[in-house]
Amino acid sequence: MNATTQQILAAVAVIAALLYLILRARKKKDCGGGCDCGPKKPQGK
Amino acid sequence: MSEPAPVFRRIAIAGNPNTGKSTIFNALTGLRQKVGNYPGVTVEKKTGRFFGSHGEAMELLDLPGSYSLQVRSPDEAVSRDVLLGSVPGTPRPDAIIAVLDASNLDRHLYLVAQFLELGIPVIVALNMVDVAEKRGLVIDLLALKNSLGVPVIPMVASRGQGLIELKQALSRATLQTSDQRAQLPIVLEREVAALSRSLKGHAGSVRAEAMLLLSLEDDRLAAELKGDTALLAEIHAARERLKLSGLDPIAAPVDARYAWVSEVCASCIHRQGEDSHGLTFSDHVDQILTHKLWGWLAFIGMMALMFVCIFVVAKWPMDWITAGKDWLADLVRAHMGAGDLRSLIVDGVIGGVGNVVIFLPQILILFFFLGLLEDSGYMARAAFIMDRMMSRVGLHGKSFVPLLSSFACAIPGIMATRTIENRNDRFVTILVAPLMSCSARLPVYAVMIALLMPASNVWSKAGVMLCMYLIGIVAAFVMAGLFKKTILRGETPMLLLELPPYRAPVVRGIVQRMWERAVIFIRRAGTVILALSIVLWALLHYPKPTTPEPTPSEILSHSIGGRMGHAIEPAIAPLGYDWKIGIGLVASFAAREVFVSTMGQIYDIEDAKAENEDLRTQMRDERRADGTPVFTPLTCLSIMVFYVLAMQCLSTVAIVRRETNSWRWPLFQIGYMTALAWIAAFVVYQGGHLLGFR
Repeated sequence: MNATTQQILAAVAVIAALLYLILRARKKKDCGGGCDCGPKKPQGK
Repeated sequence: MSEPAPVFRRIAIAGNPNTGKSTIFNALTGLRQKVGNYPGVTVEKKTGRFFGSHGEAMELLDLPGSYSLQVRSPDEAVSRDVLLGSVPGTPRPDAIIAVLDASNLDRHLYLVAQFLELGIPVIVALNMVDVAEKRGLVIDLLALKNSLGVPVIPMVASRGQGLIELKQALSRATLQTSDQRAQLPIVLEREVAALSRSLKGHAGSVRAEAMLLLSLEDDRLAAELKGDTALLAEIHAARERLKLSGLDPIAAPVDARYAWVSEVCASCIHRQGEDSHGLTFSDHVDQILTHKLWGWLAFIGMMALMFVCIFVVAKWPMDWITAGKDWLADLVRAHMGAGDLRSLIVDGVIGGVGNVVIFLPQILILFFFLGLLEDSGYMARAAFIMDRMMSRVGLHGKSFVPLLSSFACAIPGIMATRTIENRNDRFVTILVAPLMSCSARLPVYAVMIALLMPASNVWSKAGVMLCMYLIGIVAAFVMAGLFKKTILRGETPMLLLELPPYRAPVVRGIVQRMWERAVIFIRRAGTVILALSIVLWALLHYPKPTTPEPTPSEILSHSIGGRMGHAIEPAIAPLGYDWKIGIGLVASFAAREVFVSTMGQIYDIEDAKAENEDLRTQMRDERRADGTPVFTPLTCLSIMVFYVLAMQCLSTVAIVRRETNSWRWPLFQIGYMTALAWIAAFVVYQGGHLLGFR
């Protein structure tokens, strides 16, 4: 793979990553945040 | 459609929280339930219908769990008002099913004492008799029935045992009120009788209402009476007379009820497996674990042991992951010519994600220990010893669970603050929750500790990590105290806490939760962290310098990330950080663990020849322009302290925005936490320098 092809593919990957982050932020806007921690049961009493 | 059958009896089901009220409610009503709200408050009103043993229609009202009728929260106010018959649209119930946990009878009978004062027929549903039996409690049902003067139905609601007997008891033609109750001191009884005559209410409840009014705190009393100055004056006069005769109007009825509860328990509960002082195994252990001094030492000791295990046990899997990461990078290098894509895959993807995934074993061990402590019943004890400190700074007792959850992640912690009724108490907890060290900080601490003390034993390393967690806890308490005295003032309600008996943790359940955590972590590493690493890679490589054959340092310095690092360098230089650490700080605002992957990428670019050296070695070898090392012990400490206190988490910002319904609070939180982190890191670095450390 020559240097130019590598450059183009790297640029595509970066744009895809950026798009993913932007879309994810937009999608999560309604539910309030980008947490992947999952729901946690309140513990103890 | 046919008209519903007329209601034969309206019954309220009430009791302390977690006694199985809802289980009995669901078992009796099945799907015939209706959920609404009480007027004016956001407390759920749950009603349902069922048929008695002779087919008569009954209406059942599920009251919110409460420990007493002495009101502390909107939930408890609803329970009290419904039972006093003062809620519009909700008639006073004809009977109360008092659900008690048979294994905690001595605590739960207090509420029954108050129910009996109301003059409403009571039927005691003695739930969880199987648990009581397992704990060696033998309850004399006949003696209990005679002491209370009401029917007592032994039940195991979760298995449907006792439901038929309960229905039979509710279907009796007449239900008698009990004349058994706590004996008040004569002076108090006289004042209660006098005040009862001035109250306009249900004949059966005025006595109870009079007792409640007499024992209310002043500010609540004024709110309750809503401007009835004549009655207020009468109550104040009665209180003065009581005080003159040496009685505390607030404490006297409480003492009388507890004395009555003790008498009842003594006559009907026999404990097997107790020593000569009536203490169980749990009581003995609690004498140490909830002790003012030993309790704290045990708490700190357990935390220290946890961190030692994190370092010792996690070492092997971490080495395997590192080896796997290096093997993968070598494989790509062997099959791909040099170029941007290879750099992205090796430095950005494998380096960026790999440097975060390495910490998975440590995070899982952290969760294993948290699960162990929670399931064994120790966490309730930790809450108990913490509450002393929390109440001193004005933090609500219910803040403990949100703060504890924040050790895993601030987001579930902040969501758990919804159980705190008072707005100011809730907001204080939200503001300080991110100060608790979450699992995303662990990678930053681990890398810095490895740099700070490479040759030290694990106990010293665990000690430093413990200190970081303690700094977070202390900072949270100090800031909470400050907020409670300034922007979010308010009184602090006391905490009522049940200490469950110690039990052997179920390892299967803990392992299952660890697995869930691992899946969440890997998913996050494969999505957000991966995307952020790729974007970071671009920020650290572009734009490229126009000079022919630029050195790796020139590439980094010329990149957007490098320029950002240079731009903030004047602000962070007093903390001992150079512009490369600055890049890490800026990048990790999205998520803290990104700091580690950013540093990994930076040093991979800079030190292209040493691609397979681990991050710690690369960071240790990093030098400033004058030849001195960048990561001195003071710099490492300063970075750790900064990460303990700084907000550095976009997801938390978003959740605070949602939970407070305003941008004001998250912005304030970012501001105060960043300022606090900067000042603390400054004090550590500059103070250390002044004291002669490097």
